[in-house]
Amino acid sequence: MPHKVLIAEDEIHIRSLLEQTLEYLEDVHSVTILTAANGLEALEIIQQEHPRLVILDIMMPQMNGYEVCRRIREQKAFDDTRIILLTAKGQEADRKKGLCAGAQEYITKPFDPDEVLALAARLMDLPLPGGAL
Amino acid sequence: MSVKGLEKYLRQAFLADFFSHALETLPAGCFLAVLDEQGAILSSGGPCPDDPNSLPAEHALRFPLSLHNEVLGYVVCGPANKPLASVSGRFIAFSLKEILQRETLRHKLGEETLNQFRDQALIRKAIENLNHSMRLGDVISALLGECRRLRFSADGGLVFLKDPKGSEYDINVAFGPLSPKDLMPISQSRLFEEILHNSDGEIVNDLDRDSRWRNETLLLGAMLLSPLRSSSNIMGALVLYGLKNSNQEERDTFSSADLKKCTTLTSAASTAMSNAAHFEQIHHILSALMESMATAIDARDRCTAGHSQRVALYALRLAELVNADEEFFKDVVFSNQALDEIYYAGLLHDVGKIGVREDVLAKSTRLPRLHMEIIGLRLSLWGQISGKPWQEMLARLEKINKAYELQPEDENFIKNLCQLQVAPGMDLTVLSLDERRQLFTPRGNLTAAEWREIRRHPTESYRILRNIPFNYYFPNILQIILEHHERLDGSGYPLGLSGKEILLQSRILAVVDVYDSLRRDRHYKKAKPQGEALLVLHEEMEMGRLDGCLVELLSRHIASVEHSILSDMDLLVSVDHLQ
Repeated sequence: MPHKVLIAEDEIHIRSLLEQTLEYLEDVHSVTILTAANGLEALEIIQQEHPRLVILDIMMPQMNGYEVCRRIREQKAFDDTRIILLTAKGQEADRKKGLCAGAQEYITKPFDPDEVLALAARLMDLPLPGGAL
Repeated sequence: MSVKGLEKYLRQAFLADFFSHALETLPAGCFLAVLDEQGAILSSGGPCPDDPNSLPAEHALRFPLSLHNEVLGYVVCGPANKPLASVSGRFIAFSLKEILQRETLRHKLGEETLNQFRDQALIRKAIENLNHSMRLGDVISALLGECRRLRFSADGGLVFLKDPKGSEYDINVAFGPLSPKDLMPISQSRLFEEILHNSDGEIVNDLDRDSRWRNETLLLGAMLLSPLRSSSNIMGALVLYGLKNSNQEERDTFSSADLKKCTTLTSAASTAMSNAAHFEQIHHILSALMESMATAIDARDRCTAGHSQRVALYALRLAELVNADEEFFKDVVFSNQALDEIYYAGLLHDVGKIGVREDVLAKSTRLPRLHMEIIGLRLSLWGQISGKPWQEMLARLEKINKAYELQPEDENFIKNLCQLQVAPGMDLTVLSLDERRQLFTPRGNLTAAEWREIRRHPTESYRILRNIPFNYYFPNILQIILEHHERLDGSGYPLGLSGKEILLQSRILAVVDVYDSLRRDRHYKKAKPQGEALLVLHEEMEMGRLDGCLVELLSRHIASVEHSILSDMDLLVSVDHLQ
């Protein structure tokens, strides 16, 4: 079964850039890319679609990324769900908090597209061409 | 292979959604499809036949989907005879063409933004890695490290640095198949000179065709040159190269994006390099100052010349032995910074002697020479008056004055002299009570008061150095210096600390300070040979004063340690001499 990735980010241009970053996974590994514009929507999509990987912005309306993260981690069914947290540059202090909330990885905006793609591929056990990075 | 053209911009999921809405504007039984330029279906809606491309025009309407006058595929709408099929079909095709164009544009903008993100990330990482290096060598290796991390299609690379005194360029580091000897001539080419002086960097993918290149280094096919500059100074250059014919595909070795990345890296490296150069300069001045200070202290007394320098080197070697040792000090590891700290503690440990009176410091006899001459006058006067021989007595007294240890019969001799009146009935004895006290010093030549004076020096060192802000680099240096005369059994000074209260570094300094003192002439005793000096250290250790493990470690390696230190010192002397 092809994997699903959820991108939860309220800013549409960042969301779109993340989608474009992960296009490689869509094209080559038939990964389905889902999107959510706020925390609540993200939580609903996670419940319905069981994405393998969630890229979660921390500062989102309705429910922030930490809270979404905690709610996912409360449910055993989502033990395998991998989470990457996304935050604005200069708030690296949030890193520990994010990892405590149950995220696997943590990246800052503006993100390095190559790094995000590599992280996503690694967390979903998918190969990248030439084993880049 | 990644998806191209239509499929990339008109995604399956979107088309399915789009068709379901579009079909609502058409009568029932209509179908829609998007075909690629070969006519294969990408997506369809409604009762679409398997091969809509082969349908004749009267059965299905075909509208081209073009982008910049290039046809990427078709929109097919049918059956053509249904009402509205033509009108709606044309509108739907128009809409999809617009969407295609806008999606393409969005993608291009997105790609551009992502490239900016890549650049920013590159700068961020490069600056992080480069600024962590406070030494020039580290900056250069970090720079080449970044180049390798970015996987440029270069066969090799190198960094040229300008010799600060001349105008020559030297190769600092290089990687790749060519040896520095082969690469050296690059710096003599006109290409190198011109790029360094006139541009921010350049790529030459076909060196054979460049008039500024005269095949200075054979085998080179392509080169990327990025200068390292600080404000207006040219410090050197980063060079990446590709070998001739190594590129089977006849593709350019370097792209403008490569140059852009290299420029980013070299500008970050340039800043880090000037920082490192400043830091090294300051470090150099500081250590020269500390060495001069130590030399000045040692110079007050001819017996201690070079003592601080030697103790510093001994302490450093002993600390390195502790690092390497798995028997006594398995868990102790001194960092490079901690080793530097021990070295400088050794260098400065006796600075406090600047506050000790010179006559005490350089005292070579129990009584000073002038004082002895006066006693000699008294004795000769007594001899003339009494008619008794006095020269032999004076000779004996002078011998006592220089002796390290006082013999019991000497004590009686001195006592007698104190009772000897220079002339009968005169209230003047050959020796005064104060002189007797000074001659009675049982060991060495210092009186108790003079010892107190000498013993002030660790505290004095501490007091003098306290105002130097060592704290960041050398947090323990003051404590090490203050404690270098403490002894494990608590018999040391100034605080009388014992055992583990004394820092290991201080114990190291104590052992090597004693050792070096034994190995050199003192005013009251001769230098001991290596073996005897070690014996004294062992005695001190058995009395529980010096750290036994350290004494043992030093004893095991003393031959090589001492040899290397003495040759280091000779080297220092010869360098001094040349300057």
